[in-house]
Amino acid sequence: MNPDDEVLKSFLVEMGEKLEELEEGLSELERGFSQEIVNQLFRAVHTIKGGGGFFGLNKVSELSHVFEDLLMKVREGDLDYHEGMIGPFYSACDMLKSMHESPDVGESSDIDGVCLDLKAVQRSGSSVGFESSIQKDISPEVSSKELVDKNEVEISIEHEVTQEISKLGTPEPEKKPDTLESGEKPKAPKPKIESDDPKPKNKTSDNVVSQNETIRVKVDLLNKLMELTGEIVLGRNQFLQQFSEIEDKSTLVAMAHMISDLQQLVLQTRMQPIGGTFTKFNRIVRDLAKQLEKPINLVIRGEDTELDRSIIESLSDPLTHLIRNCADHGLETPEERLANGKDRVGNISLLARHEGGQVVIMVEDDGKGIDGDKVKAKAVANNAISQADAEKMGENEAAKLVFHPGLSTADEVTSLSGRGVGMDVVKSTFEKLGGAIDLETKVGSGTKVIIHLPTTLTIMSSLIVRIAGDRFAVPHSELKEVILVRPEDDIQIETIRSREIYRLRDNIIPILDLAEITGTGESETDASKRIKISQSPERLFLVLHSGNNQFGLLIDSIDHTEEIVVKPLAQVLSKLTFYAGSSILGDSDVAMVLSANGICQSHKLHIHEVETNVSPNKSLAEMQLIDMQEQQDLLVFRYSPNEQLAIPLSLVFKVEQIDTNEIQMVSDNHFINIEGRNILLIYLEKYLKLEPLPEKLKTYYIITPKIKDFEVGIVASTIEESVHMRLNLDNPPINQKAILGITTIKDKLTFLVDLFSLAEQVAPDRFVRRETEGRPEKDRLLVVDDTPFFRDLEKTYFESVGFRVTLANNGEEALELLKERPQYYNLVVSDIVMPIMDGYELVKNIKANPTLEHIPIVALTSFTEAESQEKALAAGFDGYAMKTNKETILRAVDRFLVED
Amino acid sequence: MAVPIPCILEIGRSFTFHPVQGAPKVIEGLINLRGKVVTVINTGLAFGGERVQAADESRIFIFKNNSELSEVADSESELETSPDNIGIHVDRIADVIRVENEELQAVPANMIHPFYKNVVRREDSFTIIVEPSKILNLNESKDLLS
Repeated sequence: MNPDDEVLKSFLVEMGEKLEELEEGLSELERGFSQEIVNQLFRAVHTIKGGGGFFGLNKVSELSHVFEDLLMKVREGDLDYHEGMIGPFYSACDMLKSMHESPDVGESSDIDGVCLDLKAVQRSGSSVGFESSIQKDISPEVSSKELVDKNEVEISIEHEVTQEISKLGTPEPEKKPDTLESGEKPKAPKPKIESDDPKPKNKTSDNVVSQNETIRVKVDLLNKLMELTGEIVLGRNQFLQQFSEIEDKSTLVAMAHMISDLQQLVLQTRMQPIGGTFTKFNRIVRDLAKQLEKPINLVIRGEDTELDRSIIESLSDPLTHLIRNCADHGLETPEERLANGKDRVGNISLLARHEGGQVVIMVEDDGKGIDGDKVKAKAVANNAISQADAEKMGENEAAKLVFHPGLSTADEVTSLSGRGVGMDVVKSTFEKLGGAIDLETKVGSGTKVIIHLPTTLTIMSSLIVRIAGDRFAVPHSELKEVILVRPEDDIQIETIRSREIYRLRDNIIPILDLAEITGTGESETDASKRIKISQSPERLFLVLHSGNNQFGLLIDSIDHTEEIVVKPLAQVLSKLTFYAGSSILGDSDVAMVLSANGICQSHKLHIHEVETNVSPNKSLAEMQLIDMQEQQDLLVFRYSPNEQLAIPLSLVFKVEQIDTNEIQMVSDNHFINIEGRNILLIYLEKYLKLEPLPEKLKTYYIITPKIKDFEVGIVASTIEESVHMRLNLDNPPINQKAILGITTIKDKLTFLVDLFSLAEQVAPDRFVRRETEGRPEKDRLLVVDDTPFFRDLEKTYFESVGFRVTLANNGEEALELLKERPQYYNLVVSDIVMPIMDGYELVKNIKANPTLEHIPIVALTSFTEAESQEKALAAGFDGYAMKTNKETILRAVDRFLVED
Repeated sequence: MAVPIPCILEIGRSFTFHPVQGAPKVIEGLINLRGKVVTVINTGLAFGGERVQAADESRIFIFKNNSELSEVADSESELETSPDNIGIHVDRIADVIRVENEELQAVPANMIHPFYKNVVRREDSFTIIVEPSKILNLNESKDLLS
């Protein structure tokens, strides 16, 4: 029986594929008829029929036979395609699908209804054909009618045959092929020859198409391969650590590279396009439209975006829920839409794309949006939030309350929503996958749900920390920042109602320690450890986030950063939700991986709770203002002992400590190998007039900047701290490139390093901008930015290529300046997020003013997401550039001044 | 006490245990078994007795997981372990014995324990056969999981 089982299994796999093709084809057919689609449908159904017959799956073969017959008539032109056919087609496809999934492959399904529907279509179809053919010729009609009759005869015959097969087939499987052959004989002389004719032709063409260079591999095998590769990566890390003292590591390094490549490739094998999941929404939306009597147009984009298989598998349910919400709650009825001046057909769009190592999925509708006030009222009524909180919330924030567990079960439970899957479940599903969900809504114009997902689950970059002697891994995706509180600092950890809290830029976050999270009570060792922690004058904690929740986790020290492979916990430990799993580190020690999501859930950590206990010093609006003004995070470090340097923290990718004897020299350049990558070391004395590095240092720190194509390590002798401060920048006294200016940090003069200029000096061929020919003719720029740091940076950049720059602190100031001299400025370059008047408001004002509307305005922001670009362009900006790169900043401006 | 040999993947000694904060006390910790993370249960604590201390003679029995077991299972016995590879930390290996099916007897009423499956009486010895699926999943012993 075994070999047959195998064959049957592989047929079922194929049947699944064909059904998918069928479904895709039907949704295409729905959009428009073409001969090609019908051919494709016909081939799919034909294959299913053939297999069904071979394996004695009577019902499958019976249904697909009727289906095939109908399709064939459409294909041959005996029957005209009309829209009424699509319904029965879909139900046939559905039926086949559910049969495919049932344990007996549909043998116990009732297919009569579907068959009758199909036949009814055929009759009505042929009668249409009858009428039309009478006008031309009579013979086609005859033949089609004949076909109908033949068709019925054929079914009954085939029925008998297949039954015979199944009778014989079960006890004596080996004989199956024989019985099939003999079974086919009575079929052959029947009048089926005619209809059989096109099939062989088709089969060959089908074969040609399907001969892609792919093979089927069992998922299980791929998983094992993945697992093993993960272990090889660990092994490589261990090797590199073990042989760090050895001089000639070329073989080891070469191998390390190959392993990295291997890992990449294996990861790729698990990647699948998201299209399969997306396509089925054509169906769902179509059904919804019918059910709700709302015409809906679904736009799908980015079907070929690839994601890890395991993630794709979990996407279907939450996305279905979101789409249903769009259709049911989001979109208005056609009457309402017309009354509001919208097109009567509602739009839902579903799109996916890659963005910065993540995949973004957006579900958007152009319906009525979410009324924040209503949601708030309900949240207050359900005691989900307090009245005071509700008052502080903006429209968008309030709308996000729909993700709150208490609120998701809408009171308007229709047949479509309220199926037990609430928005909170949707949210937690995405969070479990390591993703995040966000929502934007505008009353009257629609709602957009944005989902960020990692492309793969298996390998995560993590920070390894020590808590009470044990090591723990914290995924970077959940880590916001690391804060060290010293006794002399202004802001301390405070204790309120025996809970520790910290004011982080006027946000109040709870501070937890591990014992609190794990619930390990005050056993002796723990108690002594705790005392030890609180006795040390400095306290170090990580700020972790899960969705909107933030909290601090006290740690003793930070070890290093590592790419880890997260292994799930054994079932006996699965109750410990505050762990995401465990991992084996480079030194073959085991570390637990902490999960911020899990901690929040197991601790029922709601930030509101803490917030209501402690009233913030300032109102929310004030806080935001302060937050946006002139604050800058800087990383302070030293090269030589007496010179303090700083770079903006936002431009730092990571900081690592290295052993000086690990540094290797290649033709005057110093390199260090970190996790299999060779990184060029930059000694600042070469580029800035600095004193040399102190000799005899055993370890250096290297700072890796976050600049594209600039993978270098800047050498530092010590890392001082990271500060969050208002930056007053003075011009450098000496004309040095690569120094932005000087400032005072903790009573010490500090040089602020200009990383972009540094990059230019280090790799001139890649970073120096081609010299512009002469001064630009239109050279008068107005630069609007609230952050002095960026304002000055932009000024320096623009002036370096010959512009004349005027500065404004915010939108209002800019508008004043523009109104004073409407013809003076050739271009406005503006930040978006600013106090008093933001960039959107500014652009609105400029474009609405007839004397100013001719001036092009370019948005310059630190948002890297493509969606904010769309938003900016939609708001009226003529161009868009990101602040992180000198080249793009300058180019964005160029375009406008050269074009005209 | 005895466990059926077909359930055992391997027996090891001297591992570094990595404690799991917040886990039940009977969980001794996690070990790195050649790149695989295995959870280890302290047998002494699991039976409500003294903790098994790591010593020269102490061993860790690493059990096959259910899918590994099903690959080798012979049809006569219906053995079951757990979905994951789990280890148990034991004081020492006493003996390897061969037990015929006829020798298996029910656990006497005065010593019923959720982890016990059968007993074997011989002239000079009395051996308790442990049900691996129970101890490895810490079933029916919720007090241990507190």
